[in-house]
Amino acid sequence: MRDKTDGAHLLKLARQALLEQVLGEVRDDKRYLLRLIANALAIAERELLAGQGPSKLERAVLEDLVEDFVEESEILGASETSDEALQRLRWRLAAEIRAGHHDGKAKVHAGLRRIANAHLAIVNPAAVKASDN
Amino acid sequence: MTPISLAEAKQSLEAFLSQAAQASRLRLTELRPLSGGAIQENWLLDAEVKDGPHAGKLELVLRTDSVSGVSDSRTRPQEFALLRAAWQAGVTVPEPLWLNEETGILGRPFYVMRRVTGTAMGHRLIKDPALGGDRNALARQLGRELAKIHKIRPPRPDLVFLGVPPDDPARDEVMRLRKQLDLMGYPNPALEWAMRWCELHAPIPERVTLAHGDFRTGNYMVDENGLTGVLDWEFCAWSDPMSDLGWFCAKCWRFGQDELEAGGIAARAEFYRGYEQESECPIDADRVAFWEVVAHIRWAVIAIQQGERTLSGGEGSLDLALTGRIYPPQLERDLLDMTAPARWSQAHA
Repeated sequence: MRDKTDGAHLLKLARQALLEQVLGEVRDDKRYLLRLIANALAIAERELLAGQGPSKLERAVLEDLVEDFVEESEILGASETSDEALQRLRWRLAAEIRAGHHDGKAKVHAGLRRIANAHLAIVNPAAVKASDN
Repeated sequence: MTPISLAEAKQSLEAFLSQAAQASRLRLTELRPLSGGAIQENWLLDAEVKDGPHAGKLELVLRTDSVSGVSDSRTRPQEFALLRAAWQAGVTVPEPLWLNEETGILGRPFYVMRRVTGTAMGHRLIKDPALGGDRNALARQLGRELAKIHKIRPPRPDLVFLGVPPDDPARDEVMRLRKQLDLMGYPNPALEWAMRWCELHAPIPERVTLAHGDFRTGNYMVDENGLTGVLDWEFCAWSDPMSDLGWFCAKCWRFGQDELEAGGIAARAEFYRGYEQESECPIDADRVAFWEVVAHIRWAVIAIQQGERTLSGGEGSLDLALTGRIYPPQLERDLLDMTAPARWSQAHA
């Protein structure tokens, strides 16, 4: 079980303190920077809370979209980290799209939108359209 | 040649300006940096001029390469030539006055232009209705300004540094962006999808004119009455004139005012009306729509580059890191919406 004062919780409190107690006290020309800092903290908090979720989703979507996908961990062994696997899948799908293998395909389009929305939910949740949830 | 700080060079600068202004004497009463960009430096100069055509008070801006910066955009002499071409075409720009290509005074070339007042900050313009005067009038004027820029056509002996006009500006731009993405080693299937769409739907090449290359809200200056100057000429190139309209109207440059399609300040029709009042050629709306897709790709590539720059050390700018993190997913999602399967000419189920 997570500690109740885990990193995400600390970030949330830090952000609150910054916006509620510090922002009003600083010079006008530093407010923009403070808002950037608050935004960075919010992103880090959401990222911590989401954990591996967005990466797992992206990986599952990509595995479903690339052509002739086989579980490559069988070939590459256990040496590949999940980040490396994700990066390799991105390269593959990117190359296939560039080569014209997926022109206008609705399934690919829908998958790419899901991935973009998963990333968007971390950096700017307000921008994820209601219809996409 | 070692760069010399402006403050140290005050006397030799006064001598140069005095001669350029055909004055019997010129004294700098104010000399201070305006902004310290990574690539350029801008300095505010106030001068008292005795005799000659500029006698009296002269308010100037001096622009030079920054001391540390390695420029990969236009050189200052090239920028000066572009500004002069625009000034001669009747575009509202700060009047370019004098260029110094020698390295004797500052250790680097510089030019001097007349200072215009106002603010260029996009967010301020969007939030503050007192700025920019009547917004519809501003949008129409910006349209006319852009049409004037597009009257500058190749060949131009004063702009030879722009190179040979491209045969196919749309396809060239897509290939250029693809290459930039490849150089970053950042595989991005969503951007690939959009670039593939662009490759298949690029308009047939037509006119090539001078394109400003960065004509958008945030890059022109306004005061409470309206436009005071079109800025940022370093991305000028021979290209499809509709590329500038696409960049200006693209959703990513509306500063959150999505319904105001002309740069977040007015309806698109106002901007188009101004453009067509001045232009010899009508607007090709489909072509503009294509360039709006390209605009989103271009901004995504720039945002990724800005984020990357903070990873490799150098400037630890939080602003750039956030840009690299926040904008790409948003731009990717918008790009996917603009290039949905129904928009592919040979869509597959």
